[in-house]
Amino acid sequence: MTGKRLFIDTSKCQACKACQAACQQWHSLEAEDTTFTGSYQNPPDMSGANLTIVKFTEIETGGKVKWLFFKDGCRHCQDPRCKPACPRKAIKRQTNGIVRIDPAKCDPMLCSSDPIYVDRPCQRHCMFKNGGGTGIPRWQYVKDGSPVQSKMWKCDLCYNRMNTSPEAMVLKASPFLSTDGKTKSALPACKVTCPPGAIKFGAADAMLTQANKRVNYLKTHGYPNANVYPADFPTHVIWVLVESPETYGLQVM
Amino acid sequence: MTRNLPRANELQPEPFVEMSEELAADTTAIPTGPIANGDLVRVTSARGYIEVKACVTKRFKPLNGVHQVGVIWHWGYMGLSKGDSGNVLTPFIGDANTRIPESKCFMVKIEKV
Repeated sequence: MTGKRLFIDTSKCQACKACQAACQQWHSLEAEDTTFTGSYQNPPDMSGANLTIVKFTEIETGGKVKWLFFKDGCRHCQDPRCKPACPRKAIKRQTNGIVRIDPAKCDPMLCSSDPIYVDRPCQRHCMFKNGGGTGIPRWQYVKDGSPVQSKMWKCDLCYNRMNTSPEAMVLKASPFLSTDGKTKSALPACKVTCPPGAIKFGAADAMLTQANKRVNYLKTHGYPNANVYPADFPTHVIWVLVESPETYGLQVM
Repeated sequence: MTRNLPRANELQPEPFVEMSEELAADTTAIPTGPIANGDLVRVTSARGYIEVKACVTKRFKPLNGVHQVGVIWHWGYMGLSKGDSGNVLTPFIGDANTRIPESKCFMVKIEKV
């Protein structure tokens, strides 16, 4: 596979949710008003204000409790079903694998006659509806009011950070830059901010090789159920899970 | 400063008390009934009480038959996200030599509000 790939190693994730905040900051999204629902997972699901969220799962096997973390978000499919579904041709797939919604063309009030906040074509045709919910794209979040000019939002792998000069980055988000001001500029905001280094970004094939290597390591070091997700479905975002995808409540292709 | 950042408040909006599933279901220890995840509960010590949400989790287990709860401390009466402070419950005493407050371990009562 050509292009870039985001590789998320959930065995290293410590669920600090820094990726959530960094994503929100880079995309200049407004924070949601949330309440405590009994889990550390907050907000409970992805939304127009949270293009990525960390999902928490507790399981108990053989008297041992495991706390599983999963950084959810768009998978950037090699063959995205949302792209042909969009009647306004707002969804593009770049040559480096990034699938993004062009906000200039997207208009959810024109693409369907359904009332506001009802599933749009890109949501309905999304391959990854975890738990039978809506697809990955979400309605723009507008605090205290109804959206007049709303858009659909999803992870765009920070396409606008690629090929951005370090000087321009300093103006927008200086904390994301390394001291030399160069090496980190072409990386997604979640990858740069991840404190344990659980998120990696690079050439697609190299990332898959790294993921398989990590799975082999985990299998011999106390995680016999480790696997690469999604298996047998080419995407530009891959995970290494320590338990089966069903345990996380994920859809298996 | 923490509770004045909207993005930090979004990630963890309210104070909570963590308890085991065994304690939440134990109606002898909590006569006001079994506690469900996200219920509002009152935590009372000899010094005062706070009302916080319950986080019923598998990660807490009774130790040798003694139930434990954990209360986070980071809230107060100021900021965008207000809530009861864990300092209300803690004893106002400490070790004079090491200057460490003895606020780590004491008895509390849990009630459903």
